[in-house]
Amino acid sequence: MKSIWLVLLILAASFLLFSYKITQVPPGINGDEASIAYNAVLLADSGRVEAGNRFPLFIATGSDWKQPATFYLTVAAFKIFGPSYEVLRGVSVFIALTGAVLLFFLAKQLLGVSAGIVAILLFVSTPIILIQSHLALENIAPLPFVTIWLWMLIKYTKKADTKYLVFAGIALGAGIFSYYGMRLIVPVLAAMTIVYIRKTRAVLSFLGGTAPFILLLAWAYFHYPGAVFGNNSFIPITSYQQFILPYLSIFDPVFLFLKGDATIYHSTGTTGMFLLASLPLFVLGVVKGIREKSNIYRFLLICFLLAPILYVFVGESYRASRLLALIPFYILISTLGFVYLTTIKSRAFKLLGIVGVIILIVFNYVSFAKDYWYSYPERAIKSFSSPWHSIYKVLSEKYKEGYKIYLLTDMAGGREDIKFFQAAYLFTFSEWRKGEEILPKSALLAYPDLLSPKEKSGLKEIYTNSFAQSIFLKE
Amino acid sequence: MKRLLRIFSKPAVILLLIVSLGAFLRFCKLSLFPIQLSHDEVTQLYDAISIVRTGKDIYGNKLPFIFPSVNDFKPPFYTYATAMVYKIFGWQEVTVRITGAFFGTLLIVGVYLFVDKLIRKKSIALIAAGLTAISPFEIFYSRKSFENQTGIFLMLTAFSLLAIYLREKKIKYFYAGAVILGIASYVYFAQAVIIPILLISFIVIFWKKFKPLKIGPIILFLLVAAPLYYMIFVNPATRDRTSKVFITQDARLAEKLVVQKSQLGKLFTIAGYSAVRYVRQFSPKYLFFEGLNMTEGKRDVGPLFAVSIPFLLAGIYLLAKDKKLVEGKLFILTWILVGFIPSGLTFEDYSPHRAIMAFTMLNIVSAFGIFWFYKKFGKVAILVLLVLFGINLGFFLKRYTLNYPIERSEMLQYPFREVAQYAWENYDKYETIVFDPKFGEFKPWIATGTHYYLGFYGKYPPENMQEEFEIGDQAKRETTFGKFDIRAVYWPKDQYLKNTLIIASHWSLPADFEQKEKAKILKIIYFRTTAPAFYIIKT
Repeated sequence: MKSIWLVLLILAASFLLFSYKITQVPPGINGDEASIAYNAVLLADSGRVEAGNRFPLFIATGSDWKQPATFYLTVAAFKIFGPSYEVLRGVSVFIALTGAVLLFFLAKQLLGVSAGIVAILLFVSTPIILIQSHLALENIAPLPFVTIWLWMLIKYTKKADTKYLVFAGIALGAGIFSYYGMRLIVPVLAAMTIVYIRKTRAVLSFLGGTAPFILLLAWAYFHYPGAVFGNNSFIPITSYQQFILPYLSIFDPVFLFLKGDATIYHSTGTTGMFLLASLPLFVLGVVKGIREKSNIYRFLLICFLLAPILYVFVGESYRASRLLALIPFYILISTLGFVYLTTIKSRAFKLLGIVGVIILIVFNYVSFAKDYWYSYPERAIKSFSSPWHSIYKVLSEKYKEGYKIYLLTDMAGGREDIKFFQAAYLFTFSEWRKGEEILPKSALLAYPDLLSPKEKSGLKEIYTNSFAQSIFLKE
Repeated sequence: MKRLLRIFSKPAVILLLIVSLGAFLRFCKLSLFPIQLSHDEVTQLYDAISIVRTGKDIYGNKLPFIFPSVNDFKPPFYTYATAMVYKIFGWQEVTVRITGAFFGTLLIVGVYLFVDKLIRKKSIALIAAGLTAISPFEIFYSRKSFENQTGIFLMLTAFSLLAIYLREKKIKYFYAGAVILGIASYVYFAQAVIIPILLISFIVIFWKKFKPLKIGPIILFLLVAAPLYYMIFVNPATRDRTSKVFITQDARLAEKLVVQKSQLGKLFTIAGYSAVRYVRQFSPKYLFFEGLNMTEGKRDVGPLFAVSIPFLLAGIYLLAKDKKLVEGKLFILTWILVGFIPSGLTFEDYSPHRAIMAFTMLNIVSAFGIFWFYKKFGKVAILVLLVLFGINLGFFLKRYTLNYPIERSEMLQYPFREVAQYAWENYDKYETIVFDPKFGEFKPWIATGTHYYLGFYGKYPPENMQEEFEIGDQAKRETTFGKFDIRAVYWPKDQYLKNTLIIASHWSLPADFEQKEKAKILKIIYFRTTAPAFYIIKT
């Protein structure tokens, strides 16, 4: 019972951790978030997306297709809580917390309750989880599916009941629809599962679980052109270096522990995907896992190494945002390392090891979080759009107060982020061109520099942001 | 036939064959590859000649502990070792390389002994020796007059003796190992730091076998090494050397330190930056594909063979799995982690020459993987290994002999030899020879040790150099001796010098110089890439 309260406490703390500054970091909505957001609002309201379809499997946007997992979760969130920027990004927080809960059960199944708690703490303190929980994107979506698959596989290992393999198959199959990259990861994990379980009946049970999703994907290949592989094209491999180097780059310790994703969207550039302080636990976990009699630990390690192997065919190295499916493996192996640490015979070394690792992890994470919340937004500001959400919130309030809303022509473009905020914050606006009269009881969104002194006279500036976008009122 | 096979299957014979192969790869055409003496080599060689002939370096310092050289304060071992080789081989380029190649070859035996005595598996020891014989970094640095090979050989020998002591409990081995470790500390300054760490680690890891610990050998080690540590702390030149290469010389770190107000903040910043630099040393791209930096924009070579990756991973797996000989394996792991510290604490992003001992240990780990592969697949494995490593070695040798001499010749300050030789051929014809050491094919840099190149290739008596040598503006590497005036050329003024030979690159001359002053150009000396390096001009 006590452990349940501890888990709930950790989850509550994690919720606060992930939610802190959720709309300020990173600053501004990006195009992919906006596409998901706008289509989700439309579907929640009217049952149709922007392209006009009713409840499509994949959602067509200007540049690509969005996956159903994150999208429909967002629709559900908007239906329950109402559309807003907070709720939009809150969906990723929810996925992260779900991942944490599932990891607890997974680690508990494998190593016991205490290990489950260690696993949650390691998971929550993984830098890329905080980063992805602040982005309303699909990258984090594979986590629950991979975790459930692994959990069911371990349950099967312990109880030899093939129903768990069916569930594992369902989880992995469904995971294909969570993120583009899963099209490359799921086949590898499925193959690894088949090699691991080996027995014909077991394999058939597993395949039975995955089959409907494979068939659905095959059907989607013909009915949603370009949705299965999106804009990604496969690079022909003409030399061994072309294969080996991108693959090895995935395990480059600088990338994993120091720099993170190559893009500023998905990384602060000062901390890796995982905390450097967690590396000793991972190494210990590898050693312990290799020595254990049970094959499950070696299976975890091999999956960690082989899961991303097909990524070499799409090029682009150092993309941590595509590797979230590796997190359950890393966390489990690191948890095993922590458990190994607690079994050291020498009390002095054991205490030194445990306390040392905890202090290092805390220090490392605090340093990362501080940088993420307070310094990273300034560094990243040029890579993100303007914080429209805060502007539209103010406009929405003024609209409710009875003001007519005007947007300077340049700012009233048909971008999806604007369409989302307009739909989410429920106001209508008219375009305003320079020279036109501004009527009383109006709120105008414009760049102050573009307004002439004559246009500014009679206007009261009530809001401005770091992108020099201001709201003026005419009473 | 069977008798012959029995002879060739004996470990000693196999080791001899491996050492012969290693010696061949290190000594073959030693004077031709690398293409020219680097500034490190020529400074050590000329100082060694000076020591033999006068007992002083070229600056007149009597039997110095540290060689000021070109303001990089070189450790003494290699220069004194070269002095001994000079007595046998005389005034020639290869003299300075023989020591490195010799100890690089001995290192193969050192690896064999170390693995055999620590892990007690002759087959793995032979495989490790074989890898050492053909590894890119071993060959590369053995031929480049680096002292590290000597230090590592001595360390391997010392720890082998300690391993024998732990088994046979004969105190003489402990004493011998301690003495050799003390001597090894003198070879390279980084070893003065690494050796005590490794010795302490060794004792801690093997504590149960060391009990009761004999203090005598420890004291002997301290006595042998004490003068070194005393000199390191007392001699400002050694502190200068350390500060010149330490990580704080990195401009990017310096920028971060400027904003730190407190000493604690600075310390944490340095620690964090060093941690990042340290972890970088484990980059697979650097270790297996690019670390030796021998080409420009082509597929390169790492310190370790790319084909050894699966064997290294297998080796790691096997070492983790096997619960026997834990201490030995733990020590190897410790050596790897400690071995990367020097390159993690210096100003360069990567300094493979400072991580050689770590690479050697990684090869030992790969040897475990290779041995498993051989046990699993027998003769087929031998064939596969020969093909894989043969191809990889061939690729390395191709890069080393074809690409490196051309694409990286500038790093060796090529064509300073040719310039020096031309200058001496025309020495008597001019009153003054002005040599501007600023050069470079794509961007300018000021070469180091110009006076050493001139001194060595002119067979200039070191005693004359000691008397005549004067230092001017050190930032411009300005020095004079004999008729040589090594300084920046200022063409608007220097063109009016009488009876002077000027040697300068296009960076020091007007943009249209080659067209306008064609008549004054006696010769153009080119880089290996055929771009002009220096113009030799008569005024």
